[in-house]
Amino acid sequence: MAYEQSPSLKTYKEGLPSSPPPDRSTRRKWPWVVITVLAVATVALAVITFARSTTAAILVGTGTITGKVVDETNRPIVAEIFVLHTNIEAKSNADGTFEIHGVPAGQQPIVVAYQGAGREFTVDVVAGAQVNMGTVQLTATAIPIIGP
Amino acid sequence: MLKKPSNTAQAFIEYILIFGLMGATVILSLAAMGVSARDVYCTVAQGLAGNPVSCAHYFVDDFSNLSAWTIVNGNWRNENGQLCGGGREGRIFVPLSERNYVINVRMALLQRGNGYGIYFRATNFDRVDGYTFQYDPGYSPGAFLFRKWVRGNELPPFARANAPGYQWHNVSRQIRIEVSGNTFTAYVDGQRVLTGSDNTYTYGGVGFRTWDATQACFDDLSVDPLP
Repeated sequence: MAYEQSPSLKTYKEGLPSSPPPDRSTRRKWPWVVITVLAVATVALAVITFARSTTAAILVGTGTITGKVVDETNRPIVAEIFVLHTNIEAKSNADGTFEIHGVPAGQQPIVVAYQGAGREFTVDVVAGAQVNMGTVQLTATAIPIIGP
Repeated sequence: MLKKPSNTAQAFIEYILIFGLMGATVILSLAAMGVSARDVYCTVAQGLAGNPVSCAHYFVDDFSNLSAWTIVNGNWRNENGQLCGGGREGRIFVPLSERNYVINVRMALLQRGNGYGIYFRATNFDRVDGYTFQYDPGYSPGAFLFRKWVRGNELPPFARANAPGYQWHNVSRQIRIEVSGNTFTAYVDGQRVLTGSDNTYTYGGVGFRTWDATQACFDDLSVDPLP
């Protein structure tokens, strides 16, 4: 501090101040507390949003589902198989068997459908493993006629 | 040498950060709760100035024409200002991006056949994903149903209420379906007939379905925000 800017003795005639004047940098701490709280909340919400996404499901690992689809007379059928909440779909072979790779690990709702009617199953998919649904029997119900 | 920012500049940066983070927090919170910006606007606008016209309906149609509709299949037609269909599997849709809503059909008349369905949260119309409420005298002994649709395939009902002896045909009915989160509630003529829940689909449009020998007509459809 330059000599010219020093306080005069008059300033201290009542005695020395009990504490130094407040530092401007310490008075402005509250915005950073708010920023920190908001940043933490934003990151937490972003993590929640990401955790619900398909990408996150794939990151936890994928497995394979196998099985066989037959009709009510135990005849193998070419059925459609869908993994809900994903774009994964497949068809069974002429002998009714199917194998679907890249299914996100965890409890997965699977729909097996034939001629417009389907059934839903829950399959526990294990990352890096193959789970067999066994034989799925589809019973014919009222069949919607699709067409113009 | 870097120049230390002035207090004013520092405060400006802090406020920018605070408002930016507040915006991100609000957007992510709404996304996590499944609330759209439109819902927020309508709720606020309703609180401040009554129900603005733009928020009164998500969709409304008196069926004076079918220009808003996508006919996927079936014999859908305009008859005397009503939407009529039937004679085989028929599906007709209108797209919506909303998640939660109330469907009101002022007049639904089943003239003959096994019943009709009202789609909700429907997407991918050619191979529809979504749900139907079905007014279904053909589902022995006659029942109200909620079904799920996966890529155009119907699944067994996930909610069903039998209604033997119900007067299914040639009575004009008012249908109301409340679609809220994973819970769906159907009313016929103001009486609650069915409640069901499912977590598969979160948004989508509405539509109508006929099958087999059904002949049915509908009039005055509205899709509104939940009360």
